[in-house]
Amino acid sequence: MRGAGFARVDRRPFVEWWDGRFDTGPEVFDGLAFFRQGRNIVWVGAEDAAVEGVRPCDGVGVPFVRTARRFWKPTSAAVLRFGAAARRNVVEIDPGQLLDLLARRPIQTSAEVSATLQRGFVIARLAGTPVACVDWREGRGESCVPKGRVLDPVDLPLRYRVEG
Amino acid sequence: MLLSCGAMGGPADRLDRYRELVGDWPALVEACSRPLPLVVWANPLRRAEAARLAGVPAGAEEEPLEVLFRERGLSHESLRWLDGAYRLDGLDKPGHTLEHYLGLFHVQEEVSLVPPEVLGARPGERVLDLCAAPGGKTARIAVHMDNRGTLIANDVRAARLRALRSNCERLGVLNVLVTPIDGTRFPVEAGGFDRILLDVPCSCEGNLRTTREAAGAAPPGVVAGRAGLQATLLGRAWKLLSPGGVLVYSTCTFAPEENEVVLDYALGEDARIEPCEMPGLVAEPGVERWNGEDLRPDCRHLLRFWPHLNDTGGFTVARVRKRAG
Repeated sequence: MRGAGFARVDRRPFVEWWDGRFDTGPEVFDGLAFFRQGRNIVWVGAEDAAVEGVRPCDGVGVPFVRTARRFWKPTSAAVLRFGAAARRNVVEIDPGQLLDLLARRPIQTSAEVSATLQRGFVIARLAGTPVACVDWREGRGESCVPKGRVLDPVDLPLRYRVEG
Repeated sequence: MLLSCGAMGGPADRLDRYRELVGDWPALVEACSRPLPLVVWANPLRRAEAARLAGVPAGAEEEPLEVLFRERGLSHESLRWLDGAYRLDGLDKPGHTLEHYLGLFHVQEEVSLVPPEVLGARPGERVLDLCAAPGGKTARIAVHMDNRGTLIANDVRAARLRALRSNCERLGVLNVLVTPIDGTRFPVEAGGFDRILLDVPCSCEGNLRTTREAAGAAPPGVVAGRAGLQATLLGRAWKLLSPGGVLVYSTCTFAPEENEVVLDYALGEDARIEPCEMPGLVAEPGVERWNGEDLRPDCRHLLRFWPHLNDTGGFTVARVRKRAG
């Protein structure tokens, strides 16, 4: 048996953290619940998912946040699922920057855009679609795309193709 | 030409032991000489993201993924029997596209989309996918459940579990619990499932259009070994199913020893293999007699999808209902 199994946890600290950082409104989590097994990762899944007694269990829904370090890190799954509604700490990127992020290369933006972002994890969006989590500091964004999901090159939809 | 294909030891020729089961043998031989069409399904769980990326208003009737396909100049043909699924022509590496990265679609062999449809899971139910990796069928079940309720996706093979988790995350499946349990020992006390998909490990003869090197009838020892495991898995799954519940048994192999014979061996009087139809897909009935042995008569309700019938891989599916009360 791996661990004690997943248990439902109080949603408030996670909803407040996410909404405080990204200003999505708490309603993006309607119908969902938060689960945890061990100390590091909190998962988000269907509110009516019955986790009780299911052991061993490797995951419930999708990973939401890593809480082991001082600054909580949103997962890529969370960014892609809930990032569309973000009004804070979100950076609209161009297709060239998207290619960099998906290849785990850093990006930079103008000073004006940079000034709108707080240090730490931000959401990168292409045409309003969340595509990646970025670790932002001093005008430079490090890609948080998991190594197993790196795409290089990326085959983009025609309307987003980069010349050359 | 068909004869020469056989004489050269083409994939279908090595399925010769099933010749009496196939209505149109030359058509099967011909189908096996062609590559398999690429089939993808648009992910309803990511429809809003697809609409945004395609610049289509949210709630528009048009499938946003079709807009993106059209822009790419891809020829896409809707499947006759499944909304939102397509045969695609002209996309060499679908896994390299942004649309795939974002989980807007999933690549899946057409006929392997059948079991989740036959299972017919509904929102709020408790459902088990006992041999779930790599997760394409799991995700389709989640779509049927509207991402609600409890869907336990189990598999004992660690590497394939990683693929299962990765696919579920990419596709945004939120009602799934992933468990790494040996299916033959899945705890009975965790039972009481409304529906169970049992897509058993098999000798994979039906993959002969994709894995041509390994194509052909599996050696008897492999079939026998698989059949033993399949019967044990079915016996355990049956204990996990609620009275009145539905179990779907499927394989991607032709051997009756891994299909009808397993059902005949493992199912008792509280089981009924139900007739089921997939409008738009052609299937041949299961066998009621094999190697001189009579099998339970309701084995005829098993669906046999031979590659030539719908221009797909090979698959078999049976829907079994447990007597209520």
